[in-house]
Amino acid sequence: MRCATWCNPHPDRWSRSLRDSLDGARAGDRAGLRALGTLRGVARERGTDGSLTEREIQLELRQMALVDRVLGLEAEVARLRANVPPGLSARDEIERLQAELRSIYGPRTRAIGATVVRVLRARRAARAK
Amino acid sequence: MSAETPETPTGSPRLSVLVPVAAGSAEGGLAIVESLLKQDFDDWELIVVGPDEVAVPEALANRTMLVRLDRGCTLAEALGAGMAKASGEFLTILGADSILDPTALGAVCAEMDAQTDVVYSDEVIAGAEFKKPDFSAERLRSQFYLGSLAAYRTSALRAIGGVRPGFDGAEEYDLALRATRAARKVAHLDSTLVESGTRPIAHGWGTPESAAMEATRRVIDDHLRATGGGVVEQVRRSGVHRTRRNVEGNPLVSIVIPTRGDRATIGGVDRCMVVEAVRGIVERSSYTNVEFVVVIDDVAPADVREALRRVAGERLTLVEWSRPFNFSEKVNLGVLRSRGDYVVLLNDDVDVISESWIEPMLALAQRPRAGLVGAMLYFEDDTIQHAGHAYYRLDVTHIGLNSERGAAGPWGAFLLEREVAGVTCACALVRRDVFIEAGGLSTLLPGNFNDVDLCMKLATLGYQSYWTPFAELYHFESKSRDSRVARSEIDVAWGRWESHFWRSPFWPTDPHERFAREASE
Repeated sequence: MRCATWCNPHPDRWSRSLRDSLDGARAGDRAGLRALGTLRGVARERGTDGSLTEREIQLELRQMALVDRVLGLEAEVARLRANVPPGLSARDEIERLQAELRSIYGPRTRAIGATVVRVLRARRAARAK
Repeated sequence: MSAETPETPTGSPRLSVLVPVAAGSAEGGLAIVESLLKQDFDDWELIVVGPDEVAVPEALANRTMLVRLDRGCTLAEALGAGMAKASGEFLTILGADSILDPTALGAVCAEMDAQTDVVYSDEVIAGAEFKKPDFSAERLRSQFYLGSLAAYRTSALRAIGGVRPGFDGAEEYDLALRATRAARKVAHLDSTLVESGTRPIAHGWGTPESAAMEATRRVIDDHLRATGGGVVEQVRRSGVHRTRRNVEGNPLVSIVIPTRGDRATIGGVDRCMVVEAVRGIVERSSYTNVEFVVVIDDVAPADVREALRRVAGERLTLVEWSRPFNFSEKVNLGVLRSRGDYVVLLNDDVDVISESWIEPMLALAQRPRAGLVGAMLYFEDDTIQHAGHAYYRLDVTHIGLNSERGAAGPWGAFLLEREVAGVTCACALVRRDVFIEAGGLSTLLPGNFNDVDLCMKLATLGYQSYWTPFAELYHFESKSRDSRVARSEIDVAWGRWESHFWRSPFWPTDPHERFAREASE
């Protein structure tokens, strides 16, 4: 029997983590992440006639491709993780995808992720006691 | 009205089962009693609201409360009297002739977590199984589909004032709309747990059909006013009502059409697809605040550009495309060139049928957290090409494919606006910033599944896709493009979303299955 809810038909952890990650990426320092960070900024900077300049369009196309890549990688990781427990090859693939995601997210998001992992480990240890 | 309790239950049960019985309708006994006796779950009470002649068997006496009715009592009064006596944490209203699966009451209670205020199950109605969608608020305004086994948190029901008088014949629909509006969470039990009687509960309470339909109109109208506005255009005996949302304001809608400027023969007439698509919109659309952004291959004949300028005039923006074919890239570029707050993603091989095709899509796109909104598309031979996307056992397909134009579809699904898992981008309307937020169409999917992927991406970001039957267009599918699917496209789409392709939340059955029951007018 399967139950679903209307609040969030896909209550996956990754949609929230994606938003958090993108927010983190937007706040990152790397030049490559600045492009992601200006995604909404460009949309706000439309001219008085509402149109974008050629340069802005090219920048935004690159940003959209980056967002698509992030969403796609997150989805792939979630799909692989759905097979519990994942096989060895799936684990390797998850690791590879996560490495790719990390390279997109940047150091700040990794730091946030590390903090979360630390908290989870501490909780798990407390429960074990 | 008086109440007698054969034996007062000790402590509050988890569930109150409320069975209203109209005078003169229980002469053969209550059919529901037998299936109540077989329940594998024990923590419930039975409240029967009925006339003096109603009796319950001895085996249920210790958990049954009889509330006697006065002659001339309305159903609303009966339900109100029953609810006043209910001590369960949750409450369900069942018809006296319903037949429950032995696991039904236990399953309902198991799904009621701390956040859930309403739960409903699939059911068999007059011999046909109704596998229902996950909770669909927009669909509910056109169809009371929660059905016979819907349970509500009792405190939530009391908080909204319980059953309202003055809606005779539509009491349950009114209750469902108001309760789900206020609910924190509505859960769908994807399991057939009840076989409902052939007659609705309201039958037998003496409400003339015309009055019941008028009450239904007022119930939906009231709901629409409370949820952003809309119009009840027709209340139908089938229970599939024609309702629609209103467009807010008069926003600029950008129609983005990628094209190679191809020609094809439609209905025996040779035509340039994109020119005729734009001409149809210019000549027949009732919504006029539009611009056209046509992304055209540089190899397209020059006369196509001239014809487009003649037809669309100042509303046309031509965007030249000189890169290799990539439908997604072309659409993304067109959207970025557009100026409207809303964009229609449109293939060049379409022809508008309904004059007001933009308005219903726009109105749904203006709903909170709306993603893509799709249209009813027909093939040239007047069979349905698209009534939303469905994913079933790894198959990705169109709902309604090859059905006759005018068919009601299973449980009237082709006649009402509803939530869907996805829609085709052959014709879809979306807020421009929402499209961009999701990264637009994936350029990794140059020709196929880019719409499926976009809807999935939007869903992960919390956006809901909708489909409307009131925007009708012909789609001369693949008259102007290569219809072959690349292996890499399957790898990308399935690599991302395979686990979602087993079951659609809003179309849980095989979309190719012949319909067990179509709603009749």
